[in-house]
Amino acid sequence: MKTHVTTTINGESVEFLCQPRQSLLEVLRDELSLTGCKEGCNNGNCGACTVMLNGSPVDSCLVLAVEAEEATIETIEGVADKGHLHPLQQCFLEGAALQCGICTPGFIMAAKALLEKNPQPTEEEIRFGLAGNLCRCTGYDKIVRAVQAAAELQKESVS
Amino acid sequence: MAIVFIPPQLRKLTGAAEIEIEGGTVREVIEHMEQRFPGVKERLFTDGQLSPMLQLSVDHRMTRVVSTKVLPTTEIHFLPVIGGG
Amino acid sequence: MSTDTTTETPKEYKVIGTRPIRHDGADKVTGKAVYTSDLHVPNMAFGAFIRSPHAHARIISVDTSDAENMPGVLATCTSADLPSLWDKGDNLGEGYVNYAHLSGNILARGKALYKGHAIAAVAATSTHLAEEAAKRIKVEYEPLLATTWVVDAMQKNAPLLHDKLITHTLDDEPAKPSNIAEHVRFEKGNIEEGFAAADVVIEREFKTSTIHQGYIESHVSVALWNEDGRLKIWTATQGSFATRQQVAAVLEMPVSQVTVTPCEIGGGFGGKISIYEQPVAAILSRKCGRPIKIAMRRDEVFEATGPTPGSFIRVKLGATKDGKLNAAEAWVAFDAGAYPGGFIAPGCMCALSCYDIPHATVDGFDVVLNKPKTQAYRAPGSTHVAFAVESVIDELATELKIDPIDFRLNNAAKEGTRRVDGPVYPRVGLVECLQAIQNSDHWKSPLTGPNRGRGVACGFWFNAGLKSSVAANVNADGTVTLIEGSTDIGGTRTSLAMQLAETLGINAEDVIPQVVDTDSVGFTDVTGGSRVTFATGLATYEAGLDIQRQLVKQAAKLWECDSEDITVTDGTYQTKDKSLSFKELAVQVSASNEPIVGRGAVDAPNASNAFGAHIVDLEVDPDTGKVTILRYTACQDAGKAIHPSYVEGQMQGGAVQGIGWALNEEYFYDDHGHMRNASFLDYRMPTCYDLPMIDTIIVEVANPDHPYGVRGVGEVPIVPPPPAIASAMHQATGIRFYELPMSPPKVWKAMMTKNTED
Repeated sequence: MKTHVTTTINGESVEFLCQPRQSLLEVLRDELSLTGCKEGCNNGNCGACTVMLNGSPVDSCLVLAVEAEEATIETIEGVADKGHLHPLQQCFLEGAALQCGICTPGFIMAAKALLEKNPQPTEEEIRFGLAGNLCRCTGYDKIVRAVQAAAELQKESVS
Repeated sequence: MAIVFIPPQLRKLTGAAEIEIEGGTVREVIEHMEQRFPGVKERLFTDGQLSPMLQLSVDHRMTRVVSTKVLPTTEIHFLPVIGGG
Repeated sequence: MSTDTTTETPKEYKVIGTRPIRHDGADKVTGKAVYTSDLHVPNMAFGAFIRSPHAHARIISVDTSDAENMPGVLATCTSADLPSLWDKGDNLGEGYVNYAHLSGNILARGKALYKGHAIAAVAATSTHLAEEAAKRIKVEYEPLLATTWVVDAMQKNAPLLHDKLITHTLDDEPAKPSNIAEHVRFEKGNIEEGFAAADVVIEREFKTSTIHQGYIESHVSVALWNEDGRLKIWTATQGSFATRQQVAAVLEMPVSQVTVTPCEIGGGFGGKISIYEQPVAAILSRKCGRPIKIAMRRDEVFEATGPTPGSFIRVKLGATKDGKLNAAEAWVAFDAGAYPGGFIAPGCMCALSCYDIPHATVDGFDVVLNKPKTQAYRAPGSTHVAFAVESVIDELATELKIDPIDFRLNNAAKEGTRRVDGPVYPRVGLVECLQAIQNSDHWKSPLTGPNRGRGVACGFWFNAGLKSSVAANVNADGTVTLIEGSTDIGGTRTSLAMQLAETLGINAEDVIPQVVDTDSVGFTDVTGGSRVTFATGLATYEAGLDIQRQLVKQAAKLWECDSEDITVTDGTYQTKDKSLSFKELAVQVSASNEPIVGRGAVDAPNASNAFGAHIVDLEVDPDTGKVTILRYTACQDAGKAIHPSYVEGQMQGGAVQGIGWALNEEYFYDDHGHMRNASFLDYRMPTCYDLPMIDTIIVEVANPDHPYGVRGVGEVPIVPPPPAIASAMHQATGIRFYELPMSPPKVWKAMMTKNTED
């Protein structure tokens, strides 16, 4: 028996049917074709599935799809603004902060959440804020530098 | 004459670690080796071709091509095949 | 500063050495890039496996009827559905593959050889249904004794995995089967003479644990067995042609009937060369007439794909009192997992590869035991032996009171050094790497404070050459589309585009690289072995020259002159009174002349010989045994860094994998031979918070076998970290660690023991 869910994803009202056992990750990817968030472990340990749920970053594999009812969800698909990359996305590209790219959507979501709460984080705060996202390719150096660069860019555009 | 470096595990067949063998290609060298040291070829070849577990170093270039030409001072080594990850 | 580049003979390039945005970048940062699991093929159904709960067991019976009777279940598959392949094998360019073993690993025949060994699979209308149905498959087992430690598996009374496995050796083969699949031996000089002349001799034993590559994307494939008998596979693979060859061999069908499309891949590091679920998905698809997707769960990836060997290594080194190495003896045992092929040969060949030693022997054993079949993990075998050899080197240097970098410089392999396995090195860059770290800011900055230490180590990997093919089409607007088959794991499509752009004298943005399927490009060996920028780059260079030749001919027609009258300099085509850029000329000729299609196909020379040297500073918490990396510098000879950012990225990523290998990662096996930490929670890989920035120094000693001097870079960086960290640990604690990982419980216990003894 499927549950009907009404939610908002990337600013748009969305409805879907799901089984109670389906995770938000599964529904986003398999029912709604929002395949930007990725499955790395399915038990909340790698962060590849990070999305924003009511303003906070979550592992969508640990959220039941039914919990999306009347929630506000933001995925990687909503980060760029009508063809213009977000400063984080631009800085990831310029800083070569990705290699295979599978963890990148999760990192961008987590970093976006971090910068929204703390626009000028220290290196340690960045590393702590991203500790829930695993990357096996980059060694994290360029990811941290990309977040620093994005924070700098956002600071310049504000001032 | 090629200088063939004999893998340690074959030295009891050849009696030496390095031997000079004539031949215009690697295959010819191995045939001549077999004439002088019977039993060597079956350790190096499978079904008439270089064993799939081996590769050659011919003048320090790795190859599996047994028709590779051999010059008078060419060094030949038999090495396990390796790849990477 | 993050990075430094030291170039031997600087050359002016327009594109090479710059840092353009990667061509697939926008897709990857917006979530649009299609990885295999993102695919929705119409009418797709889903497969799941049932796997052995025992580390070693005879399979008495498999009954799929309960599963088949479930609503929504479409088909089942067991090893009976796979052809029997007796001892067929092939050299896939990345080592020898025995297809009978491969098939047995895909679906167990007769025996389950490790916990997680796949027994059967089922296809159903959803993944959840498939997993439930798989649990309904009834398997009867007779459990057998199991062994998960390499030395135990070598003993005469060890449980035998394969009744007919005779040790492969160039020596006389033993009469009886055992778990020793291979014995290799390398010898140089006379070690008795060498050790007799040594003033200091140190012998130590080392152990390393099973480690996983830890790629974030699991193993995923979609297979469609079409009604015309053709099989299409979409998969996460490091080599679409290698996948095609293996699938065709395991299913006994011609390669021409199999098309493999590589989707974007979420990491590989050597673990996504062998096949697992692809043939099973294919058979399920054939049986039910629908495309079948199989995505492994994370615990399945840990338990049933290809981690790297665990090992036991004994190393004895002898040196004179002024620090000259004169003898070495190594005894190396690698576990291969359930089937032969644990990289013992490359491991043995790497053991002493950084040094010029006149007398040495290396004996190596490939041993099967009840663990998943091992696969390559970046420079397979080299990290294990480097941990051992570099640790003894450090002890020698300490005992002889010689600076550890000077000790290595005094003995470093260089052009003309004869390796223990025989060949002589061409021009290589180890000395330059050692000098670069010796002159680095890191090395020159003092390290002060309690419980802190600094260590250095170097490492080597051969780097493969192998085969690559490309085609390059000149477009009507003067851009060039590059068709290539090297799956892009780390930005290689851009490094290839840059090489083509440099060759043609155009911008990197004017080359459009496409990674295509096995029907659309010529044979291309795997993305692995640090070979793509080198070997596919060589093919790309050839294609560029081919385009140039064709464009000159077209220009001659356009300008009504002879081809010999046209010169090409930096992408400008000129006669004495005409001059056009590549783009301008290409636009003009495309309107009226035949299409220009460049072609490149190479079997590139193996062994571009990569060396690296690293420095690490760390601090140990005596109350917990936790190690904090304070500072890290990775130096490597890249030959020529085509795109420096991605070269740095390989060095940083590999170094961090090596740090994880050194400090935390291991498979915990219990007494039943079961892995107890098959999740990212307990298989502890480094996070962002565990690390500082990783500084890099790129040395460029040009590779004579490549027009731009490229050596591969991908693998070597994983090699130096464990021994460098072990050396730093000794400085910090006074304790020598001979086992990996040097995880907090082990470090804490060792420090407590030392305190008690002190």
